[in-house]
Amino acid sequence: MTGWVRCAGRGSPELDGHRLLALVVGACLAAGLAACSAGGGAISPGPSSGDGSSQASSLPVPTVRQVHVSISDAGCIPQALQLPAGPTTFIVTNVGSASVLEYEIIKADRVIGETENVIPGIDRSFTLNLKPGTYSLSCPGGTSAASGSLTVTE
Amino acid sequence: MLTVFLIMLREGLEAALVVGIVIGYLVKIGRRDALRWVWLGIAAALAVSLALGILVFVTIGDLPAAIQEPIEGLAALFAVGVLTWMLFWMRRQGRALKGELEGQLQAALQAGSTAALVGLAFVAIVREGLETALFLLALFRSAAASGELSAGLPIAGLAGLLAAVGLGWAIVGGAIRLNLRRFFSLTGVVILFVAAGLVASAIGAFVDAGWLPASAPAINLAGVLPETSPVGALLAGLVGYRAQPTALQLAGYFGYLVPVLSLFVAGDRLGSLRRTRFA
Repeated sequence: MTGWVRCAGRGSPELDGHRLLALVVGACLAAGLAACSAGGGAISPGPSSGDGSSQASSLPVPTVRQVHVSISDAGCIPQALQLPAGPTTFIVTNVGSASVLEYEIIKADRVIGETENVIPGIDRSFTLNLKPGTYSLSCPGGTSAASGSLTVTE
Repeated sequence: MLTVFLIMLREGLEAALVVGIVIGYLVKIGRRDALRWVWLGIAAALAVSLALGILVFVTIGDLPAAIQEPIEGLAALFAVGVLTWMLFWMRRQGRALKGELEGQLQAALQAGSTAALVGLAFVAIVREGLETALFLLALFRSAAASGELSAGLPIAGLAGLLAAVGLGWAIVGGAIRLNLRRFFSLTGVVILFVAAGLVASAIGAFVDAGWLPASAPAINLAGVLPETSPVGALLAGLVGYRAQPTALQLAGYFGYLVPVLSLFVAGDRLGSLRRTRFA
């Protein structure tokens, strides 16, 4: 679990670039990148509960839900998303002409998950441990749906 | 295809400019002996980016924002620090010069400053290098999977990177031919804008990392001049243009640019005033 905190790199913003880089790289190599991926996903406030740690220790993550979403020139598709709580991988497909390239999930003004440079033909993904509540979606540059909403239920 | 080319051009141009300025500066003050350390820094940055990129690509596919964004943000801040120091260091050197006595400067660069310059070259490349390596690898995988349909994508990506290096080289290479004082002024102005852009992108990275609050864009120029258009991509690499800056990013950009530019210009005037008075 220490690997989790260090990999996620959230502990000490005051570290300088070199040290953090070395720390992140070192910690990631040591802990195995699978642990980092789980850590990066569980960015919900505070260390997560039991299922978070079991995620970090077992290499093939057991129950990660996969959700396919899209970005178009208009913005986020769908604009209003409803999902159950739990670890979720968002697979983002660009169905537009590449004027929108980014998909973000925001909770209380903090970006908690995002992926960039999503071009048509190349899907990109990110993983989050979703807690119940309301979130906003952001697809910067979209004409009519640059922002949307995500509701997570128990 | 054009999008891929422009994404890579944008990612690579800023790094090419920074590295070009470091190399140009060392050449200009006659410290070619320090160049091999710079090349070493560049090679190390490329190797680290590629090796980590491949490792991440085959294990987890994509880099979590919680790792990538803090690295990008902190590397950007480090680069801003060294660039600012370099700016005023260079101006002092330029002012101290009478005419073209470049040889005088050979001893001026101490071991500590060499290390900072090499670190700057390393950080400039590693900042976007890992993300770029992952992006290129994804392009290659897609090309391999779907055959002819996307075979052009990795080529377009590599072409974008080459164009970035070529453009950076042309700008700094052209500047090297100027006389010493002009060289310092010109690269000084380039450094100012690149550094201001880095301040804005550090803020953006810290927002994406969750360290700073997210906010809606203060201005939306995505319809007028998107970052994915040729001109937008060029401006993004050269002066840190953002199509949708937040208020925080605008404050950071101009909060850096205005005072540092005033100091830089005021110092130049003072310098030339002194020169005319005592000439």
